[in-house]
Amino acid sequence: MTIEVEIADVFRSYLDGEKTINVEGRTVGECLRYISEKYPMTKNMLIDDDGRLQNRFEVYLNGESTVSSGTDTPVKDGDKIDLVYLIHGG
Amino acid sequence: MGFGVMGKMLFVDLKTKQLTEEALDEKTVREYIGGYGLGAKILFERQKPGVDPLGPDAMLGIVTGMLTGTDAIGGSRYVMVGKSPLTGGWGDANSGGNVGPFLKFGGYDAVFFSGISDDPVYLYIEDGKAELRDASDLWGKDTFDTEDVLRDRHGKKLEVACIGPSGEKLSLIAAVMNNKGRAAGRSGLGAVMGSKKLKAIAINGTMEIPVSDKEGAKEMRKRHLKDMGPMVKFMQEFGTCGMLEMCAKVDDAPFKNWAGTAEGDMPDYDKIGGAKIIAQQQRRFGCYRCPIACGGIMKAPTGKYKWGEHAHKPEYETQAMFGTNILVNDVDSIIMANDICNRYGIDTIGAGAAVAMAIECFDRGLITTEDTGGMELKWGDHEVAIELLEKLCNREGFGAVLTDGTKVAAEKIGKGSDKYAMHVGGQEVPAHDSRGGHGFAIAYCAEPTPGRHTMSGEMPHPPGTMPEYDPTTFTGRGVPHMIGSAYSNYYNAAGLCMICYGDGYGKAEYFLEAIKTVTGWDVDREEIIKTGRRINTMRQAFNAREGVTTPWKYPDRMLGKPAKTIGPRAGITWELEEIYTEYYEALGWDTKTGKPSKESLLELGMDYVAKELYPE
Repeated sequence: MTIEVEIADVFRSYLDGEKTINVEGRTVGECLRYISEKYPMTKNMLIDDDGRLQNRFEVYLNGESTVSSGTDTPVKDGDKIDLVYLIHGG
Repeated sequence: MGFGVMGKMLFVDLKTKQLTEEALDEKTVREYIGGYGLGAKILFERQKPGVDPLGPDAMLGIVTGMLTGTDAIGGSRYVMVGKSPLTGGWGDANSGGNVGPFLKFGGYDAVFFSGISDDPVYLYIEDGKAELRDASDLWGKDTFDTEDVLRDRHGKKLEVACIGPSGEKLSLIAAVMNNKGRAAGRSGLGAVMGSKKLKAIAINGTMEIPVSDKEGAKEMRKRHLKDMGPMVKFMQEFGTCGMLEMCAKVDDAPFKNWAGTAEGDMPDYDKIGGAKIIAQQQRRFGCYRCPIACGGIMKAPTGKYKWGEHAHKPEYETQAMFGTNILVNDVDSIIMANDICNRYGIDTIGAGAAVAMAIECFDRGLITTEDTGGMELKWGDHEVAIELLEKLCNREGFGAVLTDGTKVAAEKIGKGSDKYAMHVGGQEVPAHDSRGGHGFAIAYCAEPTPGRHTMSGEMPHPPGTMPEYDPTTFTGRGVPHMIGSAYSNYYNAAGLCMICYGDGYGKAEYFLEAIKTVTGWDVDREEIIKTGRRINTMRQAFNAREGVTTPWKYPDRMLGKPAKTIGPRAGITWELEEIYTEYYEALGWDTKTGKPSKESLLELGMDYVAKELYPE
């Protein structure tokens, strides 16, 4: 099963310069854990040690926010994930 | 006087040139902290209700917090306070750089100005002494030149907060500027400063801030620096401009004066993304002792836009307001717009919103080239946007219609143009969408200062601060938002930077530890929340006494009326009442008028405010 994650320009240096990566997992949370383990620079950026999504990030699955369903949201082959980092200020 | 403060406020009557010092007692600091907390208390007590914000009876304050200039990470901020000429209610604006810490090193926690000077002046402060000096030679200069002239006169270590030509010309979206690109931009307080003919506050300071546990504070700082949040590296590399692509992708960013979407109107938004901005950055810029240094100084220009030396990196808000919001995909023009705003001393959000409104009015035929002096205003045309911006900053030609913000512009243009004026209560909407952004939606309409992305309540807070809540609904959100808002009021008043607080403090306990170590107070979470509520309620009491009722009114477009038809926020339509009602109930504010209840005022120990708002 392959899930595609599109990497924003500003995060590519954290993921070996890739524009998109393929990840594995049955849920959004498992996909995020896969990223954290494969790309050490993202450790604790996306999820904390307990697997909870860091509070500045919102995950979009096939263009729709997963805020309501959270990291338990199931994913299937061919799905596409976007990671959105929202900060205030500036 | 306590710790963390210099224990001294200065009151300056600009008409009589009389300077009066007053002690700042520890009880007041503990109850109102500093910044806009202390500022609101002082103005509530000493400024009469109903004054013209640009008149002689209006007061203007520059106020630090008890963590400003200390070993607490991010203690770089000062707050300008006054009655907002944009909203008619409470006004404040917050800036980093070095001015806040150096005001304290100069011996003062706060300075409050009243009256209007006959001639332009600046306040010069040096190690516990202050005097007014002639600023006739500075009047008319931009903010960069003003800083340069004053540093030539008073030394290279001088720190300066000043207005530029836009503040002098009383643009209602004028900012107070420092460090050639840090802005106290919101609420129109640059116009208040201009109305007083006060060009600058210039400070040389070497005094030491008394700290309860001086050695402990040093050790604490080292320890906190080793355990900052996971996004610090990202913020160091990009700063706020790094999020534009992501905000654009999910339509959090504005497109086409908030009427458009990324998919439908500007799918090439990545052309102005963070990486493109950083490619033109010469070096990072940090505020006072900042370990993150999210700001930046740009390289010399190579294209047709000739920004000046020391031009700052555009922040996300500027990038969006002069980029996606007017469908401009040219990075250079955004850097140029930022530099123009910084030099003239004007709020980039307000200015960007006014330019977008003008383009939409032109596009819809409400104004023509006869109105604009020949300018053909078009979406995506950065050249005409820059031309219009310069006129706006200079109150020149059609720019004079826009320079007082979108609310006034709509009054001048008429013809139903108010539908395209994207302000809440007179304050232009910042570059995060209320449609789909529940926390922003509450903050924009319900806080004492409307349309402010930095008053969001729910973010950013270090882990362990916010209670659990359902992020998909307003139901059940009132108390959590109140708690977040209370923390926001506290750290803002204390003089901490939002980004340092949110990303720099690895745990909620570190914030408490910083307060305890600097002040010696045995504070806990309950005191933070109660004090934050008190600060917020004092700002709102100012509004209530002015006859200002809240919630502030949204333009229909920002409520999703009509709703977007494509993109991730398609179909979202909200009613005003559902947004704020639970939050006001949690605060003890009237859900129809926003007036703090007598009970809530008494609970917070604000008896004298209760007597004034509820006379017997």
